[in-house]
Amino acid sequence: MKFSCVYIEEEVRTADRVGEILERVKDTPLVTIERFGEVFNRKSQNFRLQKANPALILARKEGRRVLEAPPGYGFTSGPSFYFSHMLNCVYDCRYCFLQGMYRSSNYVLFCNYEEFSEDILNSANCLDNPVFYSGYDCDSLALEPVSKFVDYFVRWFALHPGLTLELRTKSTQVRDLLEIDSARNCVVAMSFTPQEIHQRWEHRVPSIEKRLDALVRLQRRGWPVALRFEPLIYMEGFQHDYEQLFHQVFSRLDADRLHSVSTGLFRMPKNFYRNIAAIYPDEELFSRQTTQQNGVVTQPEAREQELLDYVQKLLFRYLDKRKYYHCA
Amino acid sequence: MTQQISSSRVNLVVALSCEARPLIQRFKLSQEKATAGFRLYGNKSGINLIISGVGKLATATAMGFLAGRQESLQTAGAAWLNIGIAGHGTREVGEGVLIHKVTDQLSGRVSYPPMVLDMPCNSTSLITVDHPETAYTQDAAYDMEASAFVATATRFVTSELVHVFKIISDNPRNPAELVSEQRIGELMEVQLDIIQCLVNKLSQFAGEYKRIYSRPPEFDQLSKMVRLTATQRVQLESFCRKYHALGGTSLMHDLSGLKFSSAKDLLMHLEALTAAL
Repeated sequence: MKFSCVYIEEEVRTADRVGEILERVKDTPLVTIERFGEVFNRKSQNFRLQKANPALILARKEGRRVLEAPPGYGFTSGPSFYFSHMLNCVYDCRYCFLQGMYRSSNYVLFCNYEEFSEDILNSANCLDNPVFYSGYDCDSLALEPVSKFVDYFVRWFALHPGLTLELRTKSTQVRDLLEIDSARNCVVAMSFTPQEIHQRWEHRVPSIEKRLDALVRLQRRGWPVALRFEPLIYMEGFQHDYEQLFHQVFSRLDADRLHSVSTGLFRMPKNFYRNIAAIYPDEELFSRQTTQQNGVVTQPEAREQELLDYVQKLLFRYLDKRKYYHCA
Repeated sequence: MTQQISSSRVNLVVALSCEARPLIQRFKLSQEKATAGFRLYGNKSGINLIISGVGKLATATAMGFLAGRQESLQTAGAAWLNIGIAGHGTREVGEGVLIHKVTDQLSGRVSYPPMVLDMPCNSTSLITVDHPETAYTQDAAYDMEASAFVATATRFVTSELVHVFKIISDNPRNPAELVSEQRIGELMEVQLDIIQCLVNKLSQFAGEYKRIYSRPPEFDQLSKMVRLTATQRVQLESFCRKYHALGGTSLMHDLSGLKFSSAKDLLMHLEALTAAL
């Protein structure tokens, strides 16, 4: 993986993990900074231009490292949290809210994994099988060759069987997972959209077939594997697109052994949406008619409902309903 | 300015005439009529050069002057490149370096030109000082303009289009007071290929920026048809963009034959048109 530059917070410069990461990105210019926000949050940046050649920022995450997940976010109604060891994603999905949330498309990698795991443990205190979601502000696996995030956290969660980890990803970087014993409490949740959407808007994302290959290998090795069909975006002929996708997916994976399957509609806070539309004024997706409710931009309700009804009905041809949830 | 409006623009800012001379020759720049005491050069490919004079104030003033002249052309984003000599504690005289961190010594303010260009040269930090530096205490280049250059240029354009390239002219073994104008010219000459590469990449970047963010071609025509408030101008621009993004191919043709009684009327027609695409 190539970065235009590596910015390093003074505070983490001598940390062992930072030294190991720098070994993996040799020959990249190094720039020392005080705090990551100096580079990441400054004004006068263009997310789209930066995306052509992003930098890596190595930092320490301060403040609240583990946050409560919003209601309806995940597969359980029990206690749920999320944490982000990284901000931004190596992929370039045009529908992604991160483009509207951050000014910069540089990747911030928080290297204080030990502090994250302490906070996870503190959050889990006395709760019944809490779930921790990774992959909200980034892709959990895509930067694995550099970050070794999975290598640390999956091993850590394996030692804490009362906690569950979901790794949300579109990546095929599963080598580290395949090299260790599967952990029943670590779920690899792969996101999919139909080929038409993948081709049009999921830039740099591995093909559907390659992601399926990765999941098949994981499933065979005993890893709990989940499917996330999101975002559901209305397209002419979506019926055929989803028929094709589900056929492709469920002919490769053992549906009975899936951990869970979910759908999620296209939803975006209106200020994020406005920011993205300004960055991509030539993008058809952000020129479409939309609806706004409670500060959230959605597709027109009738279209959404038609799409969701169809996709769910189709899904249940392959899947036991008990494994399904719709992400609010 | 001599360049056509359609070209993507790169503005070169140099402090000294002897720094400018090799660039004027390489890029075949012609002198514009002298205005406001600045010497300004340009060519038909969209490259402009202004000789600012030494120091932060002189730099900011020259850039403001140049940006003001270009504003009247109403085109999106020019790229800005500061080129000049600098001292350094350890680097060899003659080395060309892209700057990845600029610190203003007086204010302590720091900026980070984004390293988006993938250049075949080293990069380094730089400290902008108010008086020539002779001690070279930090592991950084020293100049007298870059902090003002970056602060000023990023008021005009996004920081990805703002870069600083320095050629090391002095170090502890080769003191600044011994660097002649002729020597500066020679040092610049050696780096011209890299500078050309940098200018080409910046031009591409600026072109891409312009392609994305320039006003749609119909905007001017339509805005002359009716009186628009500031908000309505924004709406008009937005509808024109949406029309193209949704696959519309000839907006003026689609509106031909229609008369608009007011800005509201025009915007309603545009809304209906984009909704139908």
